[in-house]
Amino acid sequence: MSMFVPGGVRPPGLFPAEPRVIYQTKRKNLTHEGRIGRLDRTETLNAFRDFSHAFHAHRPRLEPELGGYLHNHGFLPDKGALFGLSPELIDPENPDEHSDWLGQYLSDFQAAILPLANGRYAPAGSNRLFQWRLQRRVLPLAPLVGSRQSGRVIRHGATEGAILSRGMNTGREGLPAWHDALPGAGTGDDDDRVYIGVPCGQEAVEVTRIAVLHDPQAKLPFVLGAALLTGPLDALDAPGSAMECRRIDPETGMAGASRRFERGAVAAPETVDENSRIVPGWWPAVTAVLSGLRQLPVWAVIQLDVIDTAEGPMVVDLTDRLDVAALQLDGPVMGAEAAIRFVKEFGV
Amino acid sequence: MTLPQHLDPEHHHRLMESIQDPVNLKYLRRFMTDFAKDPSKITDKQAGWLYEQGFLPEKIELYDFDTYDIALYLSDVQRWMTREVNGEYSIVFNNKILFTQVFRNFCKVAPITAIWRNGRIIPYDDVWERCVTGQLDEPRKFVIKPLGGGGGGNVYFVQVGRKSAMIESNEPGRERFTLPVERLGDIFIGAKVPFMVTEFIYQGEFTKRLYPLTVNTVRMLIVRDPETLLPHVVRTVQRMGTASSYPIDNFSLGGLSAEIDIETGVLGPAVAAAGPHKGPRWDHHPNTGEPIAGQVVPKWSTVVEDMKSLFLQVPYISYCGFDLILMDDDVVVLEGNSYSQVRLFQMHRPLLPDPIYTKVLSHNGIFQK
Repeated sequence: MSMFVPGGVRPPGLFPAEPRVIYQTKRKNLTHEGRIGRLDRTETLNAFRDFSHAFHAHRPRLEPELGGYLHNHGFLPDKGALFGLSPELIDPENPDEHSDWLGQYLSDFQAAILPLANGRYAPAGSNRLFQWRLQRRVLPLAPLVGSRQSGRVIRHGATEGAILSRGMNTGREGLPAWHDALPGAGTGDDDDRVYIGVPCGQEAVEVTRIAVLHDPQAKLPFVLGAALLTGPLDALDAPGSAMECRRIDPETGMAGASRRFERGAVAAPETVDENSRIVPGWWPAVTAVLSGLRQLPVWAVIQLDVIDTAEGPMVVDLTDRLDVAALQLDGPVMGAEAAIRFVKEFGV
Repeated sequence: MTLPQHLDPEHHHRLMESIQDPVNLKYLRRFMTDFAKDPSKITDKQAGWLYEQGFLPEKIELYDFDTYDIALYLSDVQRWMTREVNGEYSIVFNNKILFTQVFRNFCKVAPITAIWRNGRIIPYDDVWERCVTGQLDEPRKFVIKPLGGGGGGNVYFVQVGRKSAMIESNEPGRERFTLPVERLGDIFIGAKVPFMVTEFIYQGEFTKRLYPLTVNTVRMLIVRDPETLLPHVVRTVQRMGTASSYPIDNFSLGGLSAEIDIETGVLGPAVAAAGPHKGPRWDHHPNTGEPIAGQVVPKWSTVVEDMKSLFLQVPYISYCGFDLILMDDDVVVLEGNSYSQVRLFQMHRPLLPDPIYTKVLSHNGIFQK
């Protein structure tokens, strides 16, 4: 029986009951400076500390003018060249205009605190094992063939394809051989890791990355942005990995020009193909994702990786950390009305 | 200089890692945002070394890390955290009216003539009215400055005659201008914060001689020993204006700072943190040639004892950087700073070798043993 109830009535116990507002906003101020300046809770201030540590660890350091501009708006050093952001874009006569424009970009720091909007589920947002257990009835997830908990490997079933390792955290360190994951061989870092079966190996494949937010007005999930990534499944988010990326128009399923970029590198993306094209399997993918999330309305923020298989869409990853770079290579994603409503509702 | 026993070489790292409460995390955020935009030229290695220990890049140039271990210096993060030492009583220092109202009971302060707030003047006596109606018996000087904040921004020195007033300020584009007395209030056009008008205090001969074009104030850092509850003078410097800081003596704007030996009142050489005189140590004033190093502040021991006595009379205050105007026979307490800037002290030598000072910091969670 579907758990989705028209009109937004929430199934009891599923949607977080406690307030999820991260801090009170003035509602008018959606700028990045305002967001950072208003932080007043330990967890968000600590998130800023983590962001700042990552920023300041980057070598070589950026020039102070550009570095100060990016850091103090919540962007990591690579986003300057990647998105074409620069303090030179600020009109001294009208700096607010620039702040408003920049506010349409999802910043790295904003992406880090966005999962807090998931309320009581936030701690589990990047726990793949939890995600796989929770979502398996509503989403077309890749088959779970094993998991590792408390240092022990538990086999759930056989697979005919390759085995992909999905860690608890967003960083995915590569594809370990199954026999390396013997009981007791793991460390704490490997806990909550899942092993899934996928119909592809180390070769580059096309992955549709879909970012979904909860629209507080419609009380339904909506596609914030999407991108078509081409690269090996286990290296899409690894620092230094190079891949090709096309922005997808969620309204049409059309993928734009293909750009090549390297994760974390301070370099502008290189255009490798100007031509747009239809994303194969877009509508089945987005239909499966949205209908699944409507049935289990737990997440206010979620990102899914989907591959197109002969049997239809297959979800190969779920995380609450949105891909700031890939989603915005061709422009910001936070300018849409529903996105602004989300920011106002949750204060992120 | 080797580390004294009460200082661990890793204490800065430990403090940076231990900060968890929102109030201090906000100071950490302030540090991180300031660090990112600091234009000082430093290497990547220096950047990591300073960042991990809570120092801004500018400190590479300002502090003598070749002579003194970084563990001996109060970091920028620690300095921000000193803001909480006085707790709710910090407001006495953050609002210059409150400061004047409280401290005039215990010491000589600059009398308030008027307040400007929300577009109108609130006179404290009849002096302002006599100024704007041309009824002064003789020309008088006033100082107009914002009620809150520091850093010396937007300070106006006003000489009022019977028909016109001559105004000098450090505000770009309004360095020197005149107004008819009836339009004296035009000074505040465009102002967004409240201002206070006080009588100008004429400094004594000693400080006047150092640089006669500015009022050269003394900054004295006093803390309360948390065990004995007695005041402890941590460090004192004589500030001096220069041609680049004129018309004020502000250290951030190119003024000089010379350490005063607390025991003897003898001045050391002067340094600048900004402007054309940054770099060398000045035994003589770079503009006037007046000797600085070796000069003795007259009646110094009386000044120190008077300030300790004052501190005893305000027992709810634990940490303050007082700004003093030394007159020939008296001291005027110009203002107090609850989280005093420390560059003007530490450019001479670091603060943390002082065990009573670190005891105060430790007592307030600002120093990790």
